[in-house]
Amino acid sequence: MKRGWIAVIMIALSLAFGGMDYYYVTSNADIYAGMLTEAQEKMEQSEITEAESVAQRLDYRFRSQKGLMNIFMHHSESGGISCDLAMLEMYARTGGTEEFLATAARAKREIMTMKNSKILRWENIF
Amino acid sequence: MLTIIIRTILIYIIVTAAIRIMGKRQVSDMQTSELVITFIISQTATLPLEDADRPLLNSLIPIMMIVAIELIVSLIMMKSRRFRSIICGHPIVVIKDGKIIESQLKKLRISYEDLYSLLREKDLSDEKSVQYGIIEPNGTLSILSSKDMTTDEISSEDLKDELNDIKQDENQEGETE
Repeated sequence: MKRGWIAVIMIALSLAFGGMDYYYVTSNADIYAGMLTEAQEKMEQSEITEAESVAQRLDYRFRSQKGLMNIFMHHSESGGISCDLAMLEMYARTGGTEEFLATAARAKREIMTMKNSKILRWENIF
Repeated sequence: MLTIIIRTILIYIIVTAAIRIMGKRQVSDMQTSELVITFIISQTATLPLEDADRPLLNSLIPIMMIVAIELIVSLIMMKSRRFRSIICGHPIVVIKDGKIIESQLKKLRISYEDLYSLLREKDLSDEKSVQYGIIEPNGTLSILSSKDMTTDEISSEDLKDELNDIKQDENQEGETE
């Protein structure tokens, strides 16, 4: 029966780590997607200063969370998103509207793909 | 590089703990499922060593789940003979009273030469002195050579069932003749 308890502990730990991974990544993905949408809207309305401010907040937030993101995600994934967010701020500062919108769309797609890969779906299982 | 070194140490500790928890077996004595699980754990454990980009949790969680499943399956196998038979199979008698049972060999897809090879490993030249020759679920050949041993004297329920099945088959063949 001791081994039964060990099995239960292993399952509990797996669920705990897996649950943390799922919750952390998906909840933050929604926040980032929301902020990117806000940045895109600001840029489309030519509110460049506000768009730059949102981009700065995005970049700062992601850099502060990068440690945990690297634990739960492939480093190349988090690195790619980090690069896109860094570029967003530069494009806003230099007035590259099209580049800003394209980079924001790409970052959003990457983040949502990352989130969808964590969700329990048949295509993810198979 | 230091990352890889630390990961290697962590993976070593985790895999050693996992194998230790699952219990000691030599590779030659492992059931099929245990062998498969050992391979899966070893493959899963090497992934974060080959690719530093990959999170360690992506290997740790599968290893823990596999160990947990293996422990649960082994507990159920201890309680349920039927379940054990489904997972591991059951012993199959291939020699009875000095005669090879060909139908059993065909079931196992073992040739006569393979069987003689297994007999030679037991220092026997042929099947004539063997009362019962049993292929165990792990593929090894066991020899019972006590003369005039009856089915009632056998403690193993799996083996008793197998011998009773053979007896029934022989009776049926006798009736048809």
